[in-house]
Amino acid sequence: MNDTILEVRGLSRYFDRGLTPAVDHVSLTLERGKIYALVGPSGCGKTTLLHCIGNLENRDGGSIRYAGKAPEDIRSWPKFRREFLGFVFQFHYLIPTLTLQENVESALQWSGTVPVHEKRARSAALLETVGLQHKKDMFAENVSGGERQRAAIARAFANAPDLVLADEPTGNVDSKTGAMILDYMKEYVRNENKTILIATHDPDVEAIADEIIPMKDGRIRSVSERS
Amino acid sequence: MLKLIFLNALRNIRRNMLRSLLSVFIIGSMVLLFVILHTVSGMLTGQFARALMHYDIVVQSRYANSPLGSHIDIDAYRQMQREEGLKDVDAVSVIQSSRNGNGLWIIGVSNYPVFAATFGILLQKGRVFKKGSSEIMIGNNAINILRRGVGKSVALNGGPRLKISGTYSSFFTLLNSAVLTDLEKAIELSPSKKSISMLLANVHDNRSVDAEITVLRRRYPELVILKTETVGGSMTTLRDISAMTLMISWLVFATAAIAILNSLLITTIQRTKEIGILSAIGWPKSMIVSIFLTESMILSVSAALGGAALAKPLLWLFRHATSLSVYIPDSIAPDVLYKVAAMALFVGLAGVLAPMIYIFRMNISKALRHE
Ligand SMILES: Nc1ncnc2c1ncn2[C@@H]1O[C@H](COP(=O)(O)OP(=O)(O)O)[C@@H](O)[C@H]1O
Ligand SMILES: [Mg+2]
Repeated sequence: MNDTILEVRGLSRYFDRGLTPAVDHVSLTLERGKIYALVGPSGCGKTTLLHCIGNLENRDGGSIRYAGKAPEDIRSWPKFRREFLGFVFQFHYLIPTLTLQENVESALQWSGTVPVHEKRARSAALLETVGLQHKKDMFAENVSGGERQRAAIARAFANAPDLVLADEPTGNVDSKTGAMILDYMKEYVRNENKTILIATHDPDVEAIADEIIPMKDGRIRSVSERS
Repeated sequence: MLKLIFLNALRNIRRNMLRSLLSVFIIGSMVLLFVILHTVSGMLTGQFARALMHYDIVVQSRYANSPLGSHIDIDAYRQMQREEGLKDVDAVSVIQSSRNGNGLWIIGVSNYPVFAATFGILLQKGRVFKKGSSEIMIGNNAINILRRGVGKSVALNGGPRLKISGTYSSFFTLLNSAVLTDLEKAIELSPSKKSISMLLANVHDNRSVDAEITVLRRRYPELVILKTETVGGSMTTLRDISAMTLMISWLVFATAAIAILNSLLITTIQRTKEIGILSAIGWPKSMIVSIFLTESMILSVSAALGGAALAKPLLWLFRHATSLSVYIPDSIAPDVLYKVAAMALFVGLAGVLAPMIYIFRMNISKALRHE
């Protein structure tokens, strides 16, 4: 079994007609069962890199392989994003007109074979694991920022993705919620043998990461293995 | 999953209640305008054209611009009945009357069966008046105007009491506010006691209609004798009404479509981030468009329902508050409602056109960074 879940080679993304090299010849290899911390100052290109990996942003150069598969071979990106990728954003990004449970369910919407009641049950169970079962029918704007981010975590992991791209998931939550989110991620990676790439400033994230990927001015300096 | 899309659309409409209401108001007003326009113009064009088709020639007195202003001497009618080239010479006498402050037409016909077939007279209750008797039939609306029903009697224009033998309805709405009786009885009730409003006749099959008309015109210089075909064809007013109706309909449709497009485009741009999120978690773009399509459809269908529902009371108001009452039917033809349904559908679809382009061309990363 191939343990490489993501392989990026020379990935670049320039803005302002090349004046802003947001991501500049980045190469990295991510393996199954590990948490990676992408660390660097604000504006160094972390979000752009994550978006390029998720094909939410166009590439100006370089190549990507998802468990050996080239982007060109992916026929349906929506399907691929549902099954292979999970996204967590810095500012939770829930849909304000849906309840917490409906937000989680929205990630399960187009998984055709799963029956409706099972989607309900799964989204309820996910909310329970992040401690939100009692708030599942509330709207995003009526719960705290920490609770929103926990619901967003439940949504990102709903489809049991192979690779989760988390953009400063603890950046805007209290330390207790932050710790809870990180515990959840650790569990997930250990139990399911999946991979999480976390863009962060947070030393707590660095502490739980298996590897730190330092980034600066769109470039990755050197990957430091931790023991 | 459809439930989620529907709920999301509904909640967004509620969230932007003021804007939604404005769109519904504009589209609803357009639908209302559309219904009234079509109802009135349908009445003006369709019914007149159909009414004249059964006869070859139509005769009025000179200087009359409508059957009401036309006075043909009864002797001319008798003489025309004896014309060799003509058959089925029928007379219609239209006399003005009023009752309880409402206008009422007394219509006398020489040939009830043909008249009834031509104008789609449907007996509702009772029976047809007997020729030579003092019986009348009254239209649906005339029941309310006269406040009497079958079996009762009524005096009109200071004449003797007339017995109501039956009630009827007709597609020709003017007739619903009328009293229908034998030609002779109607003439009795007219001020001059000897005039007829209109003659209708067919030319014998072995003769040419044009030639016969030429002969008749020479013989009856005081009358206007026209071929019904040319009357229909020369009814430029009616043709113009149709053309104008069509033009205004398109304007109305375009206004409704632009109103909803504008509203939906604002919603879509406001919810750029939501679109980005849904894309990131694997919603196909077509399904994201369907959220906005649902919203657009809810708005346009509720506007259409509201507009159509208000059309009937408004028509009623026009009938009762204006002098145009005879031109305004009290019911809306089903085909107008079908057109409204089609309009609602297309307006709903039009609303999502710009959002669709916006969504399909969107860069997801930029959408997620959108504030
Ligand atoms: N759509 C865009 N157009 C122009 N410049 C952009 C765009 N997105 C990001 N950038 C620029 O790219 C650089 C990297 O941004 P970002 O990836 O958000 O960094 P980080 O997430 O590390 O803070 C910044 O200089 C930012 O201004
Ligand atoms: Mg960032």
